[in-house]
Amino acid sequence: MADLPLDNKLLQEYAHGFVTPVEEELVPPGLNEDIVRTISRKKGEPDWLLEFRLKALRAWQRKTEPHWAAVDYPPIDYQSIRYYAAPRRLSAGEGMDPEILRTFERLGIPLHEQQRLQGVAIDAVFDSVSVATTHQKILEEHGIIFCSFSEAVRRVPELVRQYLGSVVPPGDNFFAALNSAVFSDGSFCYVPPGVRCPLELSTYFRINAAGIGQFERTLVIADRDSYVSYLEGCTAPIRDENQLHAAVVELVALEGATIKYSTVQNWYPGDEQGRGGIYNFVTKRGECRGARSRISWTQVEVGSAITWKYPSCVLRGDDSVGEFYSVAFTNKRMQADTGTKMIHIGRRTRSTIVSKGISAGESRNTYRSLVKFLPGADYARNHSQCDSLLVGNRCTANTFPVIESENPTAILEHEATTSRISEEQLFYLQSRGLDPEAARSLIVNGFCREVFQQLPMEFAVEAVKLLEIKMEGSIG
Amino acid sequence: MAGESVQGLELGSVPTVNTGSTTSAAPTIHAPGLDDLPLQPDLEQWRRLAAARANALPWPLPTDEAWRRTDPRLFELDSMPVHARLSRRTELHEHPWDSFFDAVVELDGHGWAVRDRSGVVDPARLWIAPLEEVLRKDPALGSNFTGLSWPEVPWERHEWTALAHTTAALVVWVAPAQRFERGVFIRIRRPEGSLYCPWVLVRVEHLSVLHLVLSVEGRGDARYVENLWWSVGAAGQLRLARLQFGEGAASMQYLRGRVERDASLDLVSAQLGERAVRSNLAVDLAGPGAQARLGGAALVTGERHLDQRTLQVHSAADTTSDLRFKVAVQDQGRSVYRGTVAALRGAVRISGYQRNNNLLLSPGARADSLPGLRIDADDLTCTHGATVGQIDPDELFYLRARGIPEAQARRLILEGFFEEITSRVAMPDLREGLRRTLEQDLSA
Repeated sequence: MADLPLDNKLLQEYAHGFVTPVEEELVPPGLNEDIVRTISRKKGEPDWLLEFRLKALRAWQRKTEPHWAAVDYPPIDYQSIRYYAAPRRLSAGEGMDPEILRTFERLGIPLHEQQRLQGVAIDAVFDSVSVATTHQKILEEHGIIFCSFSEAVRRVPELVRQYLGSVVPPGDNFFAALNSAVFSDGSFCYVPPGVRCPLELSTYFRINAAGIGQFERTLVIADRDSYVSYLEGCTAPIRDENQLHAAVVELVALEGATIKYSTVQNWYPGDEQGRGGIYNFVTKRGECRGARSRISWTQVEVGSAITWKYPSCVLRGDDSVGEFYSVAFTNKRMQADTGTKMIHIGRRTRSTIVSKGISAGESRNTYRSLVKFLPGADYARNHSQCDSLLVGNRCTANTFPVIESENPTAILEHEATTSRISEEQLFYLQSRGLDPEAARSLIVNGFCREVFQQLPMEFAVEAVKLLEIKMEGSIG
Repeated sequence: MAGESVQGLELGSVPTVNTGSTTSAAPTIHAPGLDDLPLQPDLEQWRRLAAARANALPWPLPTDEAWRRTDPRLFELDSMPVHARLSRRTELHEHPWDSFFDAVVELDGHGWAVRDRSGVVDPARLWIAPLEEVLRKDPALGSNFTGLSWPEVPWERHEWTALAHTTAALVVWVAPAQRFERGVFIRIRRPEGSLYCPWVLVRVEHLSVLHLVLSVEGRGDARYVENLWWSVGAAGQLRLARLQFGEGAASMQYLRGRVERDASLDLVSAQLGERAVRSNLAVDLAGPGAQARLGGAALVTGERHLDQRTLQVHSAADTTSDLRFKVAVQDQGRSVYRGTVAALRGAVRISGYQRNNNLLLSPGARADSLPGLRIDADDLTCTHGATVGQIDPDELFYLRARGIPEAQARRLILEGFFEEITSRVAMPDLREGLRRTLEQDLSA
């Protein structure tokens, strides 16, 4: 990002807004059984997967779009969206289009072996298909399977079949059903028992084609006593139209396993007038299936016109742990309705929620959560903290937690505050020679520190820089 | 419940409201509030309009978000006949708390009566009279009660039904610059076996102070729907305690009020009875410098269901609200708390606080808590907190190590839990009275 011309305001605000000129293979717009069959055929899928898709399609057709979130948007015409777009050369088996390589290089995601970041294996998803997965060899030595979803269906169908839809069933909700019917690609990861994954695994999502939706599916399985850290990044070109992104992420942690899932979401958020941008309606859920398992979600949200996302943990195994760390920054006309769910089923399960919301411009930032203790969750514990920082006087900050306890031995503490950047802190920093922007940026960084600390190092540095850039010009 | 008449009004003109809860799938209509239906001297006409409002709204369905945690069938109003409206009468029951107050008002299934213990009840100082009478002499009274509508607390069908069917509409009005620190005690003895809907309107004019205690008691099954509205004028003070006792009825309470410039409201609500309770409290801090301190103590035992909703609206700058609702749930009891602090645009330099503490005392008990902040302004501090847990084993151990038997130790801890609220009751005698009542309830 530092190489880009700094005088270009637009690039500074959204540096990833370019379009890659590649020839893409598209399916006609619309959603029906034929489209689902076409997608399945293009990917050469087995019958059980087609059945899964068709079942989801039927569930979707019965469902109505949810509107309870505190976001406004014009009705989406689901029949005008293209549900599949793939770079033509790739699907013709001619290797990767050099344009795509250049795209990911511009995004700072090197796919060539020699340029790869040390210690991070990447699966890159371009529109509907996975274009490259790096570091396969090292991972294979450890028995770790990390590949695109389509490849996993071919390589380890029994694993995919066992776990797909086991955390987010095909009919879970409107957008999950939509995804289950038309999902095109995504990442699959399986870590065998007792293995500590030596690399950070990463998926990078890029929407390029116009008029398409991206519906990827991620499935991460950590077998007994294993560990995996997973990163996810996303960008899209600047366009005047809205594009739909409805992903499903499923995590399964078996006995003693740990999954750390980090997201830096930087979709195009739309312009000052609220034109364009990505609608991000995502279902993310992890299940701590075995005892002593642990799932940790960390998210930094700085982009997408509308965010509707609640990464959740189902704490089924005794002594399992769920964590949620989130920074959600909204500016201009962005709307975010995000938060988490912690469902405590097992005994002595613990969860922590730390959510930091920053609202600027005319944006709307809503935190929404559910913490539920079922009758069997003896001695379960939750601590939630959600803070909102107001920057500017035309934004809205809401906090809507839901707490349900059916177990008298469970203990829950929730606290939330909403306030403006303190004048005293600003004065203190400015009197030491910092200009107002730098002072604000420093305070915001301090406000988010608890969450940034949870990110892997490269991501944390990126997140701090990203937030600084996004903050610029947001102070009125 | 044959036709008695109130102040010369014929009961024949009772408007028809379908009290049947036959669930209809009609779309949700946002019922307009009082703004376009201002209280007018022709109360019968007004009641008919209120009835039309009620009929235009659907009955809630268990699938409605607002009723998802509280089965609306607990509050079906059609299973009981509408109680007839009441006339004034002079007979009054004695109550140990009567001596704390300047004036005692009693409402029961037959009528209502006022005992003026200190010679203060006077239309020029402290006016206690039926709404019809007050509106005839002062048609502008109604203007104090407009604007009490917010999207967070939409007017419900039960509420309009109760207003149309009001059994007794009573006004307590305090003239400017008067102090009634011994205040008014309104005791409602709800009748059994009918739909009983009292309506109390309180207006404290500027620079005045009023202590008001409203307590409700009764036995056996009934449908009780209360509307309690208040409006505190500039620099006025209202100290309000609302105590819910009683056994067996389904009780709904709609409390809506406004606090004007530099005025203050101190409210203590105690929920200690009835089979099913749904209570709604909405306070508007409408003038700069307005303050509200809201306290709630609730003990839910047996198979009782308690649903409390609160809304603190900051519609003016420099306003303060502080809400603490504490709930202890025992046996198979169930508690639902849903609260919102709303800061409207322009409400700067405000401080909003909201806390809900829940104690679960037995394995079958359940508590849901939904605190919320809705902020449309900047330069403010709003905070909420919620906890759910059991009695701290360390505290219990501490007391038992000092030779206190477990049952007594638990009771002591619970008393301490509620002390934060009971200590907010402004009148010392009443504070003691409430403490003793709680002690008795906890021993039972």
